[in-house]
Amino acid sequence: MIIIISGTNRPGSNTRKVAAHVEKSYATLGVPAQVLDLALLPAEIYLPAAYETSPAAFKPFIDIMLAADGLVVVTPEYNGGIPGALKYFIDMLPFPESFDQRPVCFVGLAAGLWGAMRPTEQLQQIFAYRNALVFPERVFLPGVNNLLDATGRLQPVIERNLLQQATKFARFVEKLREKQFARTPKAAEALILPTL
Amino acid sequence: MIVIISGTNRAGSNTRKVVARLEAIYSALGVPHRVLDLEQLPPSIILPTVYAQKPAEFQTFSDAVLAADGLVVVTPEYNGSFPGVLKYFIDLLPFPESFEHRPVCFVGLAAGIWGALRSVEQLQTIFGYRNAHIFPERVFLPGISKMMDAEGQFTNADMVKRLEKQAEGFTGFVETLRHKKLKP
Repeated sequence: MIIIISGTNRPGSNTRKVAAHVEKSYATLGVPAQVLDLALLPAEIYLPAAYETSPAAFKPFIDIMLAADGLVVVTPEYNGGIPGALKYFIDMLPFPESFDQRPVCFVGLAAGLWGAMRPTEQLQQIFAYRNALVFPERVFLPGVNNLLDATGRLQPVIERNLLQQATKFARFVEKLREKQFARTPKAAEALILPTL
Repeated sequence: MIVIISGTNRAGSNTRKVVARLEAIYSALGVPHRVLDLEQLPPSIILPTVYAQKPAEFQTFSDAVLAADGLVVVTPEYNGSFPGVLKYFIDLLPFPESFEHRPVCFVGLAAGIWGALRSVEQLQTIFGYRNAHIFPERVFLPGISKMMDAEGQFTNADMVKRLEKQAEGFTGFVETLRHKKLKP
């Protein structure tokens, strides 16, 4: 299973809309994939004690991450960097097993003209620090408001780019597992993805 | 007023202990200051609705930043970067007025040998993006757990000297920019 992280907790975000398109790309390829939406994070993770004792309500998020064959991180840009909510989510995950030897790829989107290059490169640094297998081809969506229409439809050229990234990333995940470079996902019997 | 930001909400953090040392240093210099401790942030700020509407309890935090002559950001390193909660706090502040032309300086601490260099340099990018006046002299505290005793006092006199030197320099930087009217 590929897990697509919708990297902000802002409601009705463009990030969530783009994550839905990424999900569709994998569906087209017949590769199992699902969105993990940070808008659903439980409030308990915010308590200062959450670093020592992970709250029970956060467990489904951890289980999903550990069961992922690969991760697609979809990130907007806030204040020239990663959304704090996304980094906080990362800080709450167990390490090293969450990212160590886990394939990951990135999609950045922003209203401005850099298309979230800064948060994506900061994330590459963070995932590299945690020994993830970083897929080199990133997709940037600058001027995202002109790329998404009111119904959440995406410009065909971007859909093609996302599909191309998904095709290659799925192969990357497959090959690395075959050769045992990638971590074997933790078997999860009854994975319940948090939904709205 | 200098505002010292304790950059994590982790209970009983080393960051907060370093902040306590900085308070003592600014007090000794006779420079008015106060601490903004992210451990005191209201839990309601995690709700997705905060982007559109800030909870009333957050107001004291944003007011403190807006009233600051200068900010001292004290940051640990989590996962090779600044804590998510520190960036989340930044994301909830009003912009551009929170950082634009506001003097800021950085102290990094970490258990490992790099002393939060990554966190600090990433924060410099973010504050640079927001047009803050960045004080160039940073202080890094590597191997922090070996550098403090159980009471949170530094056992390494050299580190105290570095923090004192930074505090003196930063105070002068803040004053100079105020007189040149380069800050709000």
